[in-house]
Amino acid sequence: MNKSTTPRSADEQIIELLRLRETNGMSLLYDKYSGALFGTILRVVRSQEIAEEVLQDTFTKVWRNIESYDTSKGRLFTWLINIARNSAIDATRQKDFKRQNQPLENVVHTIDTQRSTIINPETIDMRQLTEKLSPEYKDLVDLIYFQGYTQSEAAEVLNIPLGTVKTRIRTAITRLREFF
Amino acid sequence: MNIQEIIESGIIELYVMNALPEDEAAEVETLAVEHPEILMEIENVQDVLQLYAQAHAVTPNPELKDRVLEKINAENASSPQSQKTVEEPQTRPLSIRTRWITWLAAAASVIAIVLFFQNMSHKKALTNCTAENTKLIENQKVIVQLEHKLNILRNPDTKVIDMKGLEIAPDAKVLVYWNAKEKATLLSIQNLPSPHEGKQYQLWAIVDKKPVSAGVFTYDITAVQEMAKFEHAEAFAVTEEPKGGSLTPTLDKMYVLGTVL
Repeated sequence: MNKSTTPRSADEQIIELLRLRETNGMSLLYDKYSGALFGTILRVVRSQEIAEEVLQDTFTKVWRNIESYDTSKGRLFTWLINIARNSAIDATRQKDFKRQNQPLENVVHTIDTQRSTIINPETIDMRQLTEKLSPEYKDLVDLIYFQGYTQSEAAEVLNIPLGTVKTRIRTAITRLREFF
Repeated sequence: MNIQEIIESGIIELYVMNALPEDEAAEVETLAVEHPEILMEIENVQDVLQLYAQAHAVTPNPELKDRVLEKINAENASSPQSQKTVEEPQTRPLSIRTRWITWLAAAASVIAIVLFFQNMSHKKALTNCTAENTKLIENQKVIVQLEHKLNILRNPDTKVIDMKGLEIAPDAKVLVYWNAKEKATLLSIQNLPSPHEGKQYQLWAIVDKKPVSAGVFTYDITAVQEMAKFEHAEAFAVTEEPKGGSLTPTLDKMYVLGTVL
């Protein structure tokens, strides 16, 4: 089966263009990653309008700080999602938001019905993904990966020991790895 | 802890997700430099999480892209980097003896300017090359996908499910090519009215008598589109749903239906 892992060289081309201050590089970057970043931001700010601001802000930061991206330290996307997530968390602080711990599925469902979520039918069967990852794992992954909770914050919110956070995260990612 | 225990502890995953306290994150970074297994694990986890995030992608409003590009263009215009390259020649009164130095300086700046423009054109050429290269990589991806689809179509285990039009559109016809072994589902529109404003077609597999979404698809009568994978299915059907798809099918908007023979 074709694994949809993006070839690294495509990322390298984009980085090179960005470093040369080519707008074209930003256009390619946007096409490739705006959806995944926007999905993450929405899960933190939970407002279409603010999420759009944060997404713009994220790409501007990427444009200004591309020199500080260190290829040896990790994938481009990991760097991007860190910027997006931090910007989103900053926005919630500015706007006096509380990071409520309402059931994630509700929020995501609201988002999905508000806008047409492109659940990429080319490659992903979301139902099978959900089957692979029961709610206790999914919620933990989403809390930490999408919403930027630290391990201790997640332990506190979910009321489980820190050790359990570690083992559950490991199991969750192992299952995802089998899936993708 | 040995390397295997560290890998299995969950700490790598938390590191990639940026959820560790600084001191623990620094430890992982040190370990990654010393042990290639750890570095590899970090990369694997990054890839999995990237796919996970991409599976949850939400397409932003299309106008947003223009706004982003406009904004960075504006930033570019206000701080042009290239101007730093050529320096103002110094002016001071000249004696006859130093005049040759002036000539030399003038020659040097001519050379500098020539080099500067040459550099600019090289930069431009490089940019074009990288853009071309990116296009080639994208094209290659398309070819790989097409090959994959062709292989499914050629596979003798692939079943063709002929979905015929129901009351709502008796002439409609959509084909599904389904291979249980390879877990591949392809869809090809033969005849289907264009969807109503704000609506989109969605494919369903009937698994153990229950409809399961195989994803929404684009109204493109020339494309063979890849849909979600199923190990078992008794039938397939297409309904018209609000854009983005529904969790359960709208039965009175079912356009075609075909059973697996």
